Amino acid sequence: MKLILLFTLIFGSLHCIALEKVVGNLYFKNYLGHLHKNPSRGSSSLTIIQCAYPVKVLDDTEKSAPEGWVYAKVGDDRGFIQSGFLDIKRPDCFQEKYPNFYLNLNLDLTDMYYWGRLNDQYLLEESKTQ
Amino acid sequence: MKTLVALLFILNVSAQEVNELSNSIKTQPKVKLLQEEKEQNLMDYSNIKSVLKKDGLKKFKDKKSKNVEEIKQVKTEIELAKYNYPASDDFWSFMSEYWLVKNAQVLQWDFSKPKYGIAKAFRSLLEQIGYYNRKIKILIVNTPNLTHAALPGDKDEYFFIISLPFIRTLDLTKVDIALLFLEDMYRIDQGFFKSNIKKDLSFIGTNFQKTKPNKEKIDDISTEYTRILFKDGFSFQQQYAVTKQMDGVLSSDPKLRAVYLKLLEKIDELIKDNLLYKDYTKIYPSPELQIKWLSPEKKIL
Repeated sequence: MKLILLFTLIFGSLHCIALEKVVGNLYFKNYLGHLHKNPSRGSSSLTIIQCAYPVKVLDDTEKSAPEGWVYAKVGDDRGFIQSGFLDIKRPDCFQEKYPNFYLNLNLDLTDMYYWGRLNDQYLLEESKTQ
Repeated sequence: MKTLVALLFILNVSAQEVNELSNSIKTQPKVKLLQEEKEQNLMDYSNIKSVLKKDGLKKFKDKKSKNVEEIKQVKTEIELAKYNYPASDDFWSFMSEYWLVKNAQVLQWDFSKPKYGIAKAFRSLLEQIGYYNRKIKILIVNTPNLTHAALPGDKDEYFFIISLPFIRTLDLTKVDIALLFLEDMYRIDQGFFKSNIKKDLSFIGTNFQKTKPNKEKIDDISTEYTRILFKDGFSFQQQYAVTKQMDGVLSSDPKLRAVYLKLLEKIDELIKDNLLYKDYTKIYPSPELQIKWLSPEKKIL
């Protein structure tokens, strides 16, 4: 019985490793944001991400992300982030530029949650260069 | 006898040598230094200095100490900058988002909605008029209490707010909304929003290392945002300036100008009929006057 359990456990984890592959290491570039359960702006949050947090972009045969989204790993959580919120370079973050001012704001978890949601809810555009 | 001759010869030579030696001492005052003396001279600071100079080591040392000073200064500056209030270039986007976050429950912006194509329509309008490189962030709110507005952002960045109940009640098109946003953008560009903030802004970009950062200053500005957007709004003079700017820009496109006039008429009608929007004129005075300002003056014959 123990052997069967052990076998299932090993096989299961090997199966997971085989399915997902890290295809890129990027940085979260917004002030605050969310790792979503599903690839939609209204989807529930798995974790709050701060600016410059490293994000591992995964290629998973079972979890394909639609256009504008990536399937990613943040800490131990796996979920979806809008690709426009990620950057190859480590961004210059407000939190790092003004650390003592930021700390003194004493943002609570609700504030941080809403700040992350704010970035999900924006309709973004930029008029082109001339 | 031979020995005597030899002795005389040697003495003669010695005398000659002594003479030559004394002459040479007179003409050459320099004395050959001992090894110890040389070593002692090497220990002499002035000599070390000259040796260092010759090797370029002093230059290197001076450069090095200059670098150390520079690094020390940069480090001090970096440490000091950690105690800065955000500079003006970084402050307004932060402040506007802070207000949106703190008023999330009142504004009710956290709900699922389609994109409506509003952002693209507004971008097209901006490009059509000739405004480039403008970063637009639009937030649709689910409250009739704040109909439409723009909040200041960092350089070329704007935060636009539009009410979904307001859109539905007036059945606004994408072009209508884009025109409202253009009005709002001018209020920011002309500095009306910032100038209506009556609290202290002088702390922006300053350093607070010797004091504690004052969070109250941020909360005061946040309260001012609420006062402007929900209670006091903009003055008649400010409205006139914005309307005239709209007139100037739209005069080259009669169709768009007609849409704008029609939009103002729709809003004017709404605020007179619908109690839910009775306070609109307190914020944006007033669509009726705006229509008058836009209409060509009648000449009395």
